Amino acid sequence: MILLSQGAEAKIYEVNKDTLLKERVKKNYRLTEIDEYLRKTRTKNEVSLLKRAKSVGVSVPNVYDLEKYSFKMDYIKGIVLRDYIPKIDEKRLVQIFKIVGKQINLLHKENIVHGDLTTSNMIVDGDKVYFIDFSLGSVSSKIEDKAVDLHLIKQALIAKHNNVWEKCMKIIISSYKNKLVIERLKSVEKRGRKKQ
Amino acid sequence: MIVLGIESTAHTFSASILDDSDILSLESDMFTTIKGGLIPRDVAEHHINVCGRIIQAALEKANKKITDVELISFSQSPGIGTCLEIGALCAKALSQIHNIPIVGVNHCIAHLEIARLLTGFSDPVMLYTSGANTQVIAYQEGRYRVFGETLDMGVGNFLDQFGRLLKLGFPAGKKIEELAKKGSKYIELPYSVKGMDVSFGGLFTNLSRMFEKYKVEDLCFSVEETVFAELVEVTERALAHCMKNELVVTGGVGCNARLQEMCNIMCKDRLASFKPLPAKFAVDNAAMIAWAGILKYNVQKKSDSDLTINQRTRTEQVEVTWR
Ligand SMILES: Nc1ncnc2c1ncn2[C@@H]1O[C@H](COP(=O)(O)OP(=O)(O)O)[C@@H](O)[C@H]1O
Ligand SMILES: [Mg+2]
Repeated sequence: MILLSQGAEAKIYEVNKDTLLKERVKKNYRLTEIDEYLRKTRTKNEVSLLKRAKSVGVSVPNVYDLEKYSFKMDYIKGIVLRDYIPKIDEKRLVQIFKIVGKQINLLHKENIVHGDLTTSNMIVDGDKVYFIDFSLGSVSSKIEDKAVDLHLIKQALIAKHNNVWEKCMKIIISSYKNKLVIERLKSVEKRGRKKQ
Repeated sequence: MIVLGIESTAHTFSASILDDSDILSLESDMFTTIKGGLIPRDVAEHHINVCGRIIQAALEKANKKITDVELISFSQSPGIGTCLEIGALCAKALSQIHNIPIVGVNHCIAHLEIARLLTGFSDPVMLYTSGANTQVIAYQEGRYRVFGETLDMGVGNFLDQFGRLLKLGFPAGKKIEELAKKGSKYIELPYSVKGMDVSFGGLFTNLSRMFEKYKVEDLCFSVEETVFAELVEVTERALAHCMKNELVVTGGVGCNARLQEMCNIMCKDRLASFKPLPAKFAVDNAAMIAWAGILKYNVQKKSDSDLTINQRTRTEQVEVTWR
C-alpha cells in the first residue's frame, strides 16, 4: 500500500485506485490507556458519522471494513479545498462556499457536529465538496456545539485564507438557517478571545 | 543599544535591562495570595509598591544608570487594565523625564520572540500555557496567528482550581507535578479537544463531583496525563497544519517536566525539534518585553505615537514589522 498522507493523527494509504485506508497511529507521548481509547473511539465514531452524513445527503466518501483502529473509504479524486482556494477566481469561490455553507447547515440540522471543520477536511470534486475527517465529530443538538463548529471553520479560514475569509464566512452564514447558533457564535468568540 | 523593559500585564511586575540581545539583568516580583485569584485593585497596589524598587534593582544589577538607557519598552497589551496602567505609567514617566524613546509591545508576541532568541529557532510553533492563557501560536502570512486556544479557562487557572479542590494551596502547579510523579493508576477522565481547541470546564466539573473517591497522587497523575495529552495533541495538529517543524513551550505550565517530555516525544516522532525555555524566561518577565521592543524599534526607529494600553488586543491584530 502507498502512503498518501500522514496527518497529525492518522495515516492514509492507497489500497487501490478507488479505495483508501485510514489508520490511526499510536502516539507515544500519551498514556497507553488514553491512546488506545482515543484511537478506538475516534475510528468508530468517524465511521458512524460518515454513514450518518451520507444518509442525510451530505457529500462524503462511502465507508467499509471497520477495524479497531482503521477503516476503508472511497478515494475521492479531487483537490483539497485548502489548496484549491488560492487557484480559483471569485465566482468559483462563491459557488464553492455556497455548497460548503449548505452542507454545514444540513449537517447541523441533522445534529451532526463535525468537530474539525477546516479547509484541509474538504475535497472539491467537480460540483461536489466532499467532507472528510469526522474523527472529532459528534451527534449533538446543542446550540453551543454547533456554534463551536462555526467558530472552528471561521478560525481556520482566518488562519489559512486571510485575504478571502470574510467573504467565505459571509456566504457560510447566509446559507445557515439556525439564527440561535449564529447568535451563540458571538459569545463563543468572546469567551475564547477574552483569554488572550 | 541599552534597553529597559517593563512587564506588568498580570500578577508579575518585572524590569529588565538588555544590551541588544544580551540580557544584563532581570528583576521580578510576583503578587500572590494564599487563596489565589487576582483582584485587580490589589495587584495594581502591589505593582505600585514594588515598581520603583524593581526598576532600580534591574539597573543596578546591569551596572547601568537610567541615563544610559536608549529605549524603554513596556507591555501595552493584553492583560488586566489596572496592572497594564502601572507599567505604562512608569515607562512614560521615565521616558519623559529622561527624554528616552519609548515603544509598547504585545505580551503574547514578546513570549514568542524571546523564545526565538533563546532557542535559535527561526520559525517555531509556540504552545503558550500560563494561568489565563492557553494558545497555540504560529507565524503565517505576516502575522502571528492563534491556531488553537482554550474555549473556557486557561490551563494554569484550571490546575490552580483543581489544586484548591485538593487543598494544595496556591499556586498549585508545582505540587500537582510532585504528587503526579507518585501516582500510577490512571483514572478515566473526560478528554475535550475540539478541532485545534481545548476546554477544561467539563473536566473540572467532573473532578469536583468525584475527587473524594480517589488517591490524590492518582488524581494528579491522571489529570496531568489527560490535560497535557490534549495540549500536545492540538500542538501537533498546528505543526501539521502549518507544516512547521520547530516547537517551543512557554508560560508557567510550560515549566512542567512531564509536559516538556511529552512535547519532546511528539516532536521526535514527527522529526521536528523541540526546545524548552529556562523557567525565568517562560513565565512573565520583562526581558521578553525589552527584546520585543528592540525588534520593533530597530524597524520603525522612533517612539510609538499611540501608547494607550489595551486589555484585549488579539494576537492576530499586531502588525509584525520586523519579520
Ligand atoms: N476519501 C478521501 N479521498 C481522497 N483523499 C482523501 C480522502 N480521505 C482523506 N484524504 C486525504 O488525506 C488527507 C488526510 O485525511 P484526514 O481524514 O483528514 O486525516 P487527518 O486526521 O490526518 O487529517 C486529507 O486532507 C486528504 O488530502
Ligand atoms: Mg484532516
